Amino acid sequence: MKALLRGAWLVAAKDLRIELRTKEVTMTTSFFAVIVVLLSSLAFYLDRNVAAQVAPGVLWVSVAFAGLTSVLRSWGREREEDALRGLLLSPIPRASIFFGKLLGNLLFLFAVEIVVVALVALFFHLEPEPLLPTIALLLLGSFGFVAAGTLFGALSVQSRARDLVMSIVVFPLVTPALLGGVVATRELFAGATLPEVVAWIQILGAFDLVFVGAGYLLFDALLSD
Amino acid sequence: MSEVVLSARDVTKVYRMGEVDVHALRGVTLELVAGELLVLLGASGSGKSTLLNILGGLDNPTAGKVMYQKQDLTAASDKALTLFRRAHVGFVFQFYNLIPSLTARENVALVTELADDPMTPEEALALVGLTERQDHFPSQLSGGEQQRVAIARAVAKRPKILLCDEPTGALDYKTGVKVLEVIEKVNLELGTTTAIITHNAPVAAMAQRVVALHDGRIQREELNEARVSASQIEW
Repeated sequence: MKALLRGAWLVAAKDLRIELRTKEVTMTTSFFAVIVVLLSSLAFYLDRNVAAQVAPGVLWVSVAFAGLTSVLRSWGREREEDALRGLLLSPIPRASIFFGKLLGNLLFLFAVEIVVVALVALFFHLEPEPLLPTIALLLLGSFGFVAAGTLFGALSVQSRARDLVMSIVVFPLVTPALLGGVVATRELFAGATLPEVVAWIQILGAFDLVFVGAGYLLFDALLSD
Repeated sequence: MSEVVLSARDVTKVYRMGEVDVHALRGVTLELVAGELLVLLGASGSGKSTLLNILGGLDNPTAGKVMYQKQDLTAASDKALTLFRRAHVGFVFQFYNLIPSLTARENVALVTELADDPMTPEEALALVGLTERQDHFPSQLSGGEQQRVAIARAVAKRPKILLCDEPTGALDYKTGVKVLEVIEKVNLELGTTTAIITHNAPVAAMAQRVVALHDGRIQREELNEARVSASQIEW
């Protein structure tokens, strides 16, 4: 277990170090998410009531696409110079590579989510009360779909049809997490309390567990030499 | 008698390509003795890379047995093979597989952080003559220097065996010789059992033993009586 966690931290630290140097993932995904929020606010903002109905969709669409773009880019780095082969032959356990990439991708996405939530709240004139539980929902939902993206995004390193992998495999798989997130956020914006959306939270939690477990169990097989 | 570190007995490897069986190896028997430098020579398609992959636990033979000391690798689980590779084998390939956004030192450190008794990245890079270049990124290094970083990364965990698959394949003559000198140094100074596979016949001159493969079979195996140092090799 110690080697697993240490390996995961090494991989995450590697990705964070690279990101601090290049700022490539956070800059491109933040820019993309900001554009989505900005255009949506211009297109859909009519009054506060409509805004509260539209905002959950804008929030989750921008976070979902930013998240999956971030995952793809993160794996794209491993494709450059066939760096993944070097990583696979290092003493780092395979499961650690999964957890390390997952941790790195989550941190990148959380950084983007902070910006997106702030902008959605600003452009859609949202009340502050539901924002905190919405952030908690976003974190919970992000965990699951980034886990699924990290797991199957690994296939994109070895596949020429990498874009197809994402659209055919990953998007359908992450749909339940996105649905749960969007509906729960919509309810919160409509005035529901946290206990009233607990069923959606449970679905998101179960989704997270399934994909983290699948990553731990399947990652080695997906990346077999 | 010298200790046999790694051995292959009657190893065959058959790949199924559609309706056709391709025999990559046809009953190869080979031993790697502790501390030796072996060159596996063969033309493209002779089966040498397949043999190296099987010896390194990256692939399983169709038939035959591969032993690492007393461990039967052919009966080992995937997990055991992974552990074998991680602990005991260093790989060097034709292309360097370095992480482009990490410096030479950081690339090596990824291995040393988790190995049991590793060198420091600085020691490993000094061994391959790259002390001055340890904070450079791969894009700031020549092909030969990148290959030397790859060698430093492979030996930093102090593996028992170093397997090099066409290590000079992407390099010109001058840098190729420099890389061979580094591999020779690793073999001499660390005592790492080393196998170099190449299609380049002059490289065989630096080996203690030469095994020539042809069409999946060992064509000839000989001790090198007139061994020369890597620096004297020309092609």
